[in-house]
Amino acid sequence: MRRAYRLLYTSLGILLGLVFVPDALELLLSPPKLPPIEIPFARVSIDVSLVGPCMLALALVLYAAGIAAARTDAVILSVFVVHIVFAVLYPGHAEPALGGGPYGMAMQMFTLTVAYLAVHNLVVRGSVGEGARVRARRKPLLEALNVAVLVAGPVALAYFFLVLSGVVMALMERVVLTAPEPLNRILYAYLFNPYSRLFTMLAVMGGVVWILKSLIEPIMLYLRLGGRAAVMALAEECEAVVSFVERRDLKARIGELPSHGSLAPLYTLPLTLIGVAAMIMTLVMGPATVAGLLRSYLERLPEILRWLPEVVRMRAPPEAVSLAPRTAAEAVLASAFSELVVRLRNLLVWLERLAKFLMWWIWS
Amino acid sequence: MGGDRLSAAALAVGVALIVVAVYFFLLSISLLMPEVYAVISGLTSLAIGFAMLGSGVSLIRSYVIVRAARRAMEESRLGETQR
Repeated sequence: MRRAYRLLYTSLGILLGLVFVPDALELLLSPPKLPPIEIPFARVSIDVSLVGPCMLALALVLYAAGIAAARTDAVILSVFVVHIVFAVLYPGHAEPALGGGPYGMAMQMFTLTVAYLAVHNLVVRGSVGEGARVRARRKPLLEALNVAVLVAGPVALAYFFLVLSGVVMALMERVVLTAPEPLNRILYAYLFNPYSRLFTMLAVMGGVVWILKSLIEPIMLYLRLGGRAAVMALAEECEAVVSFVERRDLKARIGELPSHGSLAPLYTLPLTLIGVAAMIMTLVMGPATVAGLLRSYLERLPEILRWLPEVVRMRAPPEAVSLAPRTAAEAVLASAFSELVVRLRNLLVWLERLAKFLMWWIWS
Repeated sequence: MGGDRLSAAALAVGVALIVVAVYFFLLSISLLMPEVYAVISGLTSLAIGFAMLGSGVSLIRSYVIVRAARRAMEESRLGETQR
C-alpha cells in the first residue's frame, strides 16, 4: 500500500473509530459494577467484574494495532468484541448512534463492519489500480451495479439476520415457556440469560449462514470456476479420497494398537478396603492397641506359616489346592500377573504387525 | 456417453437432495411451532435436512468441478492438436 493510501486508510479508520472508541474508553476507565452470575440449581456464583474491562482493553489494543498495521480483519474483530461487550455486559451504558437497545447496537456493529470493508476495498483497489499498466474497464452502469451490490448486499444481509434472529429467539422463547415444569425454567435459565443468549443467537445464525452458503456455493462455483482452479480442486478431492483409502488400508494392515483398561482398580480396591478397615480399627481401638495387635500378629506369623500346609491338607486333597488361589490376596496377584502377560503378548503381536508393515512399505 | 449420463444423474440427485432438505427444514420449523410442539421430531428433521443439504451440495460441487476441469482439459487438448 502506498503512503498516501496508507494515510487515507488510517485517517478514515480513526474517523470511523470515533463512533465506538470513546464509549469503550469511558467504560474501561470507570467500569460499572457487574452482578455475579448465579448458576441455577448449583448454588454457585461466578464473579465477572474483570471480564468487561479485560475484553475492552484487548479489543482496543487490537483496534490500535489493526489501524497501525492496516489490517482490516483485526479492526473488524475489535469492532465485534467491543459491541458484544456493550450489548451483553453493559446494556444501557453505551449509547449506539443508530437507535437504542440491542438492535441499535447490532446495527452500529454491522454498519461499521461494512464501512471498514468498503474503506479497505476502495483503498486497496485504488492502490493496485494506480500501479497497474492495464486497467479493467467496465461499462459505467455495470460498475454502478457492482458498487451498489457491494454496499447494499451486506447491509441487506445484516438487516435480514437481525430480523431473523429476533423472530427465531422469540419463537424459541415461546417454545421453551410451553415446556413442562421444571424443564422450562432450566432451559430458560441456560438459554436466555444475557450471556447464553449471545451464544444461542450465534449458533442459530451459524446454522442459517451455513444453509445460505450451501445453497449459494454451487451457483457461485458454476459461474466463477476457471479451468485451472477446477483441475486443482479435482486433484485435491482425489488426494483426499486417496489418503482416506490409504489410511484405512494402513489400519487394516497394522491393526489397532491393543487397548486395555487400567490395572489400577485391581490394586486400589483391596488397598482402599484395607486402609479403611485400618482407619476404623485405629479410631475405635486406639493406635496403641492396633500397633500391639500388629506386633503380636507379626510375632506369630512364622508359626502360622508353619501350620498352614497342615491346615490346607486337612481341609482338602492336595490336587484341589495345588493351583487354585487360596486367599484373596493370592487371587489378586495371580490375576494381575496374568493380565500383565496378556497385555505384553498383545503388544508384541501388534509390534510384529507393525514391523511387517514397515518392511512391506519400504521394499514394495 | 456413459460418463455424461452419470454426471447428469449426479446433478439431478444433488438437486433432488437439496429440494428434499429444504422440505425437511420447513417441516422442522412447522414441527417446532408452539401449537404442535414435537421437539424430538422437529430436531430430527432439522438434522436430516442438514445431512441431505450437505450431501446434495457436495454432489453438485463435484459435478461443477468435474465439468469445468473436463472443459479445460478438452480446450488444452484442442490447442495442442491445432499447434
